Amino acid sequence: MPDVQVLVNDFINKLRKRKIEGSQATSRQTAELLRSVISQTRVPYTNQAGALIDAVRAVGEQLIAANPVELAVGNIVRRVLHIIREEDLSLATAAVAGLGLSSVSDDEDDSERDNHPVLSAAVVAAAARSTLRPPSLQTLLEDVPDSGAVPHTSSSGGDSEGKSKSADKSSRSRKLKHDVIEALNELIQDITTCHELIAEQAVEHIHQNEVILTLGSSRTVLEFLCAAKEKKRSFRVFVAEGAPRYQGHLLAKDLVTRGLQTTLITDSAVFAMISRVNMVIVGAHAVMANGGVIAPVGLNMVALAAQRHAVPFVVLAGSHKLCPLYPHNPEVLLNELRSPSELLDFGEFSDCMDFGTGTASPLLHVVNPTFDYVPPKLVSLFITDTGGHNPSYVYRLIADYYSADDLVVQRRPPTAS
Amino acid sequence: DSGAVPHTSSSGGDSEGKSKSADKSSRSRKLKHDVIEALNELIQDITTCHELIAEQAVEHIHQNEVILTLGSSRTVLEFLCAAKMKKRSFRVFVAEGAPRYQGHLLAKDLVTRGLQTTLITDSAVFAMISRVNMVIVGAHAVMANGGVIAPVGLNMVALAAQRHAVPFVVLAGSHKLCPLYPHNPEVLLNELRSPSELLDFGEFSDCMDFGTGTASPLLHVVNPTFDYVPPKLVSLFITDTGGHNPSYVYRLIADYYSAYDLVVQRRPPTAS
Repeated sequence: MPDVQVLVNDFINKLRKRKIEGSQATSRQTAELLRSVISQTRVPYTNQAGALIDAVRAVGEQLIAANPVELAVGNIVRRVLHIIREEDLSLATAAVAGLGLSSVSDDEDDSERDNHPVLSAAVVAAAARSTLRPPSLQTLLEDVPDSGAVPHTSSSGGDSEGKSKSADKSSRSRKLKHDVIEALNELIQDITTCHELIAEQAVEHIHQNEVILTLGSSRTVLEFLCAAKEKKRSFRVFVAEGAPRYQGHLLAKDLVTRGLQTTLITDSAVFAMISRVNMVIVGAHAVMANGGVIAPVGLNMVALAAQRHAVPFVVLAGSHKLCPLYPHNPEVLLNELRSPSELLDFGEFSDCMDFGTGTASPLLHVVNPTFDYVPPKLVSLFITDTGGHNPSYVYRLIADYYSADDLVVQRRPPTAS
Repeated sequence: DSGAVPHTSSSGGDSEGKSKSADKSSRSRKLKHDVIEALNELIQDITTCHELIAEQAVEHIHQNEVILTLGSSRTVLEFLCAAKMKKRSFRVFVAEGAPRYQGHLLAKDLVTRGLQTTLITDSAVFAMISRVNMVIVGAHAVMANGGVIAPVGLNMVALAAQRHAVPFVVLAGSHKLCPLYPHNPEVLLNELRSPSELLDFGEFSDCMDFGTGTASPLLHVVNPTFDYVPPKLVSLFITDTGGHNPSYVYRLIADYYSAYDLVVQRRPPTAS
């Protein structure tokens, strides 16, 4: 697969140089890349799910290492792995159910027909148990690390059953890739339309004559507010500028062109103004498994001010931002420090920053973090493309989207065949 | 209870003795005079406390604010109207204050003076309080710890205000400041009024007088007059001397009252 490897290397370079802006673009391109990888992976007859998982893991490990701060990359890799496992499991149960039915119809003997329902139930249970189960003594002895859907110790059957089984397997292998790619297409569609799905819910949350506060600029927040405006709700927005990048200025301009009454304030003025605010609406960089939020710098201060004045703190996040890791996990890099040039011009303070008088070490340090961590107790509501949720509900969403086996994305050392 | 000059006075000649008696008589005439002058000032303060409190309204009520109050208090009425006259435009939510519904009277008075008023039930206070900028209420009495004895329903309003971080401001003239603590056995924190304010006579008399089968009544009606609002729920006291913290009340008490007078009881007459 040389051309896929070229695509992968190209994408890794872009990630490493931070050329892709925003988690939505990153997620979409990651999903498209993995789709290409899967469609070009050759799968053997047996254990096709294992082969797909290995291929995705190999690529995913490199992608995550290229930009560890962009958690959306890891999220999408784990979503794809979960999709593969889910499709495999549904195919297995469908196939075994089909197997049981076919064996009942083939037989004319009453006693055998009575026996076969019991047999098919046992076979179904064995199939479910053996589908991608974690390594155990039995599997190590069998030397099949990621077993496919149908157990090798299949029940008794004649030649006809053997032939139908192999025919089933080949059709199943084609079907698995096909189903996975279909599910991936749905995932890419969801990522692309997450803003519209979130903005649809704006009318339930923003009421007439309310005052909304936000900080910095987020496309999700912009579309959320404009959707409420189009439904004829009249409200006012306070935008905190969000130093040092001052993206709040851009958001304020966008809101004004769409006809919303906007007030631009400094970050320091947030606590002074928050007693007059009815709701705080912000975007997020990532949502962790405990409900904590990794958000642009300055939002922890806003969350604390909002708690002090009993103002609801609402976080908008597409489901691709939902990360199955906890903040204390050593793999998670909670922050990234950017260049001091965003605060101080080059050359202006270079004498203080390079060396101090008398000592060789610099007297002036400049710290420019990108993100803040907002603990879950400060968040009132998460609005995702699936609806509004409590911070304590996030673990349920993670159970829906991710498998526990995929928390560590690492390629298995190849076993001797 | 000695007067100002101790009886065991120092040595002195006849001239001092004569001047002492002359001083005593002039001082006695002066004492009564001074006391009556001070009492006149006190009566004046009591009469004008509403104006002194209302003067401070402009510092506290700002443009486009939403004020909440419960029941009716003359101090609150004059406070709000003083701010109105200084050209501040604001809105008032008035909770009706069952069972006497004095909020209805306050709402009518505010409307005649040109203020935009909304009348709500007491149950609606928690629903509306997220949109309120300040709660302003009167008091029946202010205790020495900063706690407030206020018309019934105000403890609920204070709890709702604390939950939504809304300042709870109590207006009280200095004559309402009591040097006793609420745990003091002399203080009756409450008074129960007639059940007829809730239920009409005769309507429920069968339930209230006796129950079926037993002699004791099944239905009791409790109609308290006051609520006790603990000092941690109060943000500010506005008295005729200015605005004060609940924790400052002990200083005002030290200014106005003596420690000897906490128990007002006549001494048994001593044999002369």
